[in-house]
Amino acid sequence: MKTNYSKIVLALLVTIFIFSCSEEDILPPEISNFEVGGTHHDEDHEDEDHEEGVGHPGEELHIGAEIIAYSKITSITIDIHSDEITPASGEVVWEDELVYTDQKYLVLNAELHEDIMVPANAALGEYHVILTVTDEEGNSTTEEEHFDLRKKIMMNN
Amino acid sequence: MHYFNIDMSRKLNFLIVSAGIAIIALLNSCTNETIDEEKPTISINYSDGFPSACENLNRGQSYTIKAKVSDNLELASYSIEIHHNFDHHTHDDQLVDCTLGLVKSAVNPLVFSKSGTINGQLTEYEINQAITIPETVDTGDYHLALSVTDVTGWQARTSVDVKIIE
Repeated sequence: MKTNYSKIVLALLVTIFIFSCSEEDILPPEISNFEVGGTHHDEDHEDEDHEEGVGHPGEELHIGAEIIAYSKITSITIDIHSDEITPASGEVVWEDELVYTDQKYLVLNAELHEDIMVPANAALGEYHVILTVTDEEGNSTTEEEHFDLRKKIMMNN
Repeated sequence: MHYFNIDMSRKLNFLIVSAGIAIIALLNSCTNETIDEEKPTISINYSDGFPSACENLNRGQSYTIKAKVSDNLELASYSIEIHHNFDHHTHDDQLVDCTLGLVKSAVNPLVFSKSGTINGQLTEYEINQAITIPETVDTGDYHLALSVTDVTGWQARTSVDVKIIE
């Protein structure tokens, strides 16, 4: 029986190319501890003015999250909008899209921390915050949270 | 017999060459790059490190922020950021709790942000950044956040509570 060596070797080569090194897919970024409002893990200092999920017109709104990416982060986008609010006269429905490409965020493990000024004339009601993280591979992950914009209660002592 | 030997010899050569190609292909296509899973380190906890946790910084004064950073492979960049903590938020990388002033709204808070690259394929480096606290900024509690990133993209962070006083 005549053995066809060339065919065997060719099959071997093809097999090596196909199976030896198939690259694994890079997973999309992971977002955890996404918080809007609040004071970020501040359990010792109870403070009604900085309740999680609550913001006040004319004040900063804290937005935080922890991000793990498997390829470096290229951008973090925060989209703020509302679907439900009808503004009264002199008010506006707060809408914002903020894209962060700061050096400190272009890493594999980022801690998002932004304090965003809420317009003083923003209409009260429920807003949505959509956080999108994109990496160098083009993968992106989106998480959504919501918060209530409330009038600040002034405490008189 | 003579022809048979030549035929066998050719086949043998072909096999050796092919096996060589196969091994090279395997090595080239499958060079498993070492994955760097080690984050860099950052510390202000040494004699020249500044500021220490709970440090008071006077308005109008100049200071030099100093921190030691290191990495197993190669350092790439660093950043320094100061933001107010009038709302008493905390960070995961804070090591020391300080006594904070009352919660208040910011009027003219100090906002400081500086980043730099670390060139020269260094594994150790000392951040050295001068800062003057403006006379007009709000006094009160601030966070000074430092971060360092290695060539892989891993970041290490540390932050300390500082207080800006008159």
